[in-house]
Amino acid sequence: MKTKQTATAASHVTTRPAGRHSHSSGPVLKVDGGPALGILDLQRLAGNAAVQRAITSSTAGPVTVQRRIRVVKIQGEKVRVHSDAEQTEADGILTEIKTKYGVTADSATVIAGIKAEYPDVKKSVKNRLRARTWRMIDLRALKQALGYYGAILGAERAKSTRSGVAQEVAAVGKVKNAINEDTPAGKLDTTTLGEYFSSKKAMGLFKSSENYVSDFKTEREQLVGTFVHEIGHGLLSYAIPDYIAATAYWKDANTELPKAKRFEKPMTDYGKTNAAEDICESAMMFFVEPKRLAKKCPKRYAFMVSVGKAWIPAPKATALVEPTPTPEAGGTTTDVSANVDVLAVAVSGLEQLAVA
Amino acid sequence: MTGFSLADIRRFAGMDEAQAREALGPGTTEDPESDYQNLDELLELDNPAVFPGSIYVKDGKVRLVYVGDAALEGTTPEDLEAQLDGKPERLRSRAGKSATIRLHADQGVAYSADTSQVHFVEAFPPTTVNAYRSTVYKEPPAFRR
Repeated sequence: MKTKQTATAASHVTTRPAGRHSHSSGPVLKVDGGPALGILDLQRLAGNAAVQRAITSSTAGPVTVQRRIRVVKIQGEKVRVHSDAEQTEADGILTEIKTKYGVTADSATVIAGIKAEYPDVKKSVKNRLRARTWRMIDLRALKQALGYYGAILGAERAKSTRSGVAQEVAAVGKVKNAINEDTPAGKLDTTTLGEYFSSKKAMGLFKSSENYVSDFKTEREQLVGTFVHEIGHGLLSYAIPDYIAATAYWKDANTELPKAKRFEKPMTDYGKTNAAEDICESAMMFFVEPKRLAKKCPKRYAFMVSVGKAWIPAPKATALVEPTPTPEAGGTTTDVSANVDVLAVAVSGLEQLAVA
Repeated sequence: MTGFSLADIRRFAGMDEAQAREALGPGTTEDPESDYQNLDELLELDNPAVFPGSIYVKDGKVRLVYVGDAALEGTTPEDLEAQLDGKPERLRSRAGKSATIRLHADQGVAYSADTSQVHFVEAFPPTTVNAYRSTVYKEPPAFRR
């Protein structure tokens, strides 16, 4: 395990008899003399084992447990973990995305991509770009999103119809801020969720994505969607000309057809920006909520099905592995049905549409 | 620069409808219900065999000429700037977050580019920055992902 611990945020949690915390009927706890905490708070801070110990000991008086949230350096990236198990999981994810999908976690490459693609922004602004600590929810979402494109990533790509072209996404990073525009007035922005940098074959996730939910019900789904979208800017760019022809909305990559000739609107308003954003929004919805895309944008849905089929003539039906829900996820879980092999879902959905 | 001439596109921008039709010649297709960004109720004339772009006409005058990315392969911002005077006004472009529209309003030219490519070129009768912004330009949404 290539990990190096860089910081430990240890504090002490003390239990006392229940009765004064508003949202817990179990033992009430205090952290370093702070406000009273409930069971869920302690689970978040110290994990289930610590809660079990605390409950067991609470009748016998105060008990102290170690808070284990810490930032560790794993394969050069900073990751916030709540337990040794999470540290091991994070290392496993970073290893897997590298060995299986050919994508290296490297926030420095993303920062280099920003600097390269925003040449007109002042150096003093670009020098303030900083890597951001990964959260476990980020890494789990990243792994899930890469899994959806697994047929054209890493060693699998050599077996696909994309084998003759170099993989368009090779690095991923977490960065605090993006830059808002490539002009001398460009500044660090606080709204960009993710961005793809073709010059470095890299995609970046930004701080703004944390606790952000807009298109889906949970943060986990939103993060998966953001990754799917950014990966799409690289892996799906080859398909844009066919997408334009199939969807009958675009005159070319950057301009809409006249209103009277537009057939089916993009899945989101953001997708109306240009054809690249449109196809990435379609991919996002196709992989995260395929039925929603099928219902609102059947042409786009059918296109995504055809793209997936073209990668692998005989799709596998292997289910993607859903990690065990953890306290950091705030109790939210991803719809497992969304993780079933996407091609199987897509084909099934298309058949249902045809029947309807 | 390959396959594209800024001089050609600017020449069309100074024409009236009859001149544009004559220049495009036989085989020209037309769409009387066209629109482009903030311009509407346009007549669109196309003849890819003669000119790799679209001519938008309103009230008998060419209002805007558009050339998309397919005809601009190999064209760089430096190529275009070499044919234009002065420093362009820069506006956010619908082509992408790191792309900008470089507007030479007084010379009737605007184009979108980033570090690696030119996305589209527009030509129109010379105007002011404010007039371009209010009549042609449609500001893209914030690029969030």
